[in-house]
Amino acid sequence: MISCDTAKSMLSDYLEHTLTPDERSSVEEHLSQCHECKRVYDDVAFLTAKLRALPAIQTSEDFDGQLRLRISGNYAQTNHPVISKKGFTFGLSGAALIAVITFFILTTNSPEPQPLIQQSSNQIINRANQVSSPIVRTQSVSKAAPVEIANDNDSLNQQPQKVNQENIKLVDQVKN
Amino acid sequence: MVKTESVLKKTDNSPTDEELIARFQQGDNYAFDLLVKRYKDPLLNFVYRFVGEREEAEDIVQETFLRLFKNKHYYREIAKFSTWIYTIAGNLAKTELRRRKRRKLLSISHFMSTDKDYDIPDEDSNPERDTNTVITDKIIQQAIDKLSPKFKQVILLRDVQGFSYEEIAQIVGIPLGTVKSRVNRARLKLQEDLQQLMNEQ
Repeated sequence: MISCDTAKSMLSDYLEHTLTPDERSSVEEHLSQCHECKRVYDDVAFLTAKLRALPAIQTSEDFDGQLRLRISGNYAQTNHPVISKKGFTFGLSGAALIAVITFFILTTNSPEPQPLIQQSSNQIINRANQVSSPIVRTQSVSKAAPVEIANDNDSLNQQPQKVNQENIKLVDQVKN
Repeated sequence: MVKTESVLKKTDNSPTDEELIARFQQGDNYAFDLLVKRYKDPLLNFVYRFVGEREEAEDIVQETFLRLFKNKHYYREIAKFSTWIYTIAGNLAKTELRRRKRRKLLSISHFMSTDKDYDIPDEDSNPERDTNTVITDKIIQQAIDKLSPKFKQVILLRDVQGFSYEEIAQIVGIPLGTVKSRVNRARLKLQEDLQQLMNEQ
């Protein structure tokens, strides 16, 4: 007699009548003697019939209209404003942070720190534009006057001590 | 069984799916409308049983048609249209389940990080508890929900949608022998899970 595992592996084929006559009789022999496998077979037969008879559902009445909207691109704009807004806000915050960090790097690593505060805003813009990174070119560093940025408390909140020390140094350099 | 459209299209003189998609590829949007009409309900039933939520299922079916609209030229007549569209819907449903699993993991970790106590419902006082052990559609859906996506996909295609093993092999992209053994294992697993659910009742 075939084992329980073998019989179970052939249950679907047995159910769907796709076994050879020999295979079929070997499964039948097993099921007639193994109550556990017979119970499993009865359950599976019942279940497959039940699955076939599951009640069908239908799409909602406005399905076609919604699909049309979605295809025309209106769906994304009308149904996901919060997500878009969040993404936009996050993007702005990130850009502002990058702008502050970039400015910080430019001011600390500059080989000629002395004339920084005395430079006109146009000179700063020109210097920023010469840097190859697209981040610098795109955001507010080039637009802001240098004095405003140096005194911008919000920008300094990222690393207050370090930046303040740098400002002090710059002021001293100007004095000298 | 849900999959009746292929029977319908052969009993009258309406165009086949493949004729419709060919017309749509040539710019006939009315052919697209006909495909939507033909497939929206069968796909909804498939996806609904897959993800277990009606609203989510409808959203996935819409996304399926949107992808059909945008990627119509990717279809080649070497495959049946029905297997192609079910492949798209099945993949989207699986993606949704993965997304849900990640979300669930996140919410558990969030839950664990707060020191909230959570209530374990008292089963004896559950008003919805049904002592009747008749297998309802709801219990069957619960058992389906417990299956892994790969078992769920093949058993739904075979037993709920009525696809042949050859068609399932095309939809899932696995060999015929693998489909057959997977369907058999899925049925045995479903039987086991259902047995467990019934015992918990």
